[in-house]
Amino acid sequence: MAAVTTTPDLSLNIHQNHAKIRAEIDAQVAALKAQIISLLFARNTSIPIALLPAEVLEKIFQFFKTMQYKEPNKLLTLTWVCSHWRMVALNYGRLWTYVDCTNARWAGECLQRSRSLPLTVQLPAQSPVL
Amino acid sequence: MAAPATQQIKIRCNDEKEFTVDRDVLERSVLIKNMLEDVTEQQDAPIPLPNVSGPVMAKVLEYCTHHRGEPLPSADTEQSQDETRKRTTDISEWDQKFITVDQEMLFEIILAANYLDIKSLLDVGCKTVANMIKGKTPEEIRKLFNIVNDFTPEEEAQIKKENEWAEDR
Repeated sequence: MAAVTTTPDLSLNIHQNHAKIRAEIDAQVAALKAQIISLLFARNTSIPIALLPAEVLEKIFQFFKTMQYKEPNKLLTLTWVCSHWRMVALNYGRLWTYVDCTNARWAGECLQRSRSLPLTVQLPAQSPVL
Repeated sequence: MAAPATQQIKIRCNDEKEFTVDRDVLERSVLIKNMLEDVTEQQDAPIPLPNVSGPVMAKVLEYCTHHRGEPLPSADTEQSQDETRKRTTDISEWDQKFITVDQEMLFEIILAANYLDIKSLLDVGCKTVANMIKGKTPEEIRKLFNIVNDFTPEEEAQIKKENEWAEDR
């Protein structure tokens, strides 16, 4: 019986076909994932708390901020719940007016999020400003 | 000598449920107070409230009746309102009992208070929700309100980054 040999051209074609199939599957998976995210977002609009308009959610966040004033980083929790809460919290500048300069990354983020609102600034204990 | 009769006002909710209520109780709502001030003649037709259902209005009226006669919050500046909020995150015992309802009713009451412009009731509702969230992780908050994680991969990546720099604090 003759041995089966694969020519370089045929091997190249197989690899190209596999790459094409993978790309098509990847595109379909990405589309399905995007569709799942849209469905999950739509599901979140049909729960009781979704009745509340953004300005009421902001008021709740403001009270939360007051209650958690000793731990301002807890405000991040509000932005990690769902897409809608994240959008409302990030667009609500008054939530981010406490700037803790002991963490440069956090301070920068708060400055950006608070826009041009008046700030409460915490400086490091050994700050040259003091 | 008999006390002067209190004017009674009729309101109609979106489910056709009607209530006849003392004017001073209804005037806890700034929306209704303004409506009544705009009406110069005695009106017999009920005031339509298309955004509130009967059961929710019954709860709102229970609150307004309990708090009748109390001074309405003044129209402070934005800054002093914020300061006031800082001082008043607590809820009175009566209000706590009043607001101990299921989540659907809680959010309906908040929505009605917002529409009717009853600031003190809106504050009670919002403080209650803030208290429910306090001390919880995002996952616990999702479970509490039946929210699902709907973040895009890009948002997830950003959140992961935020988590890292928040832990540096």
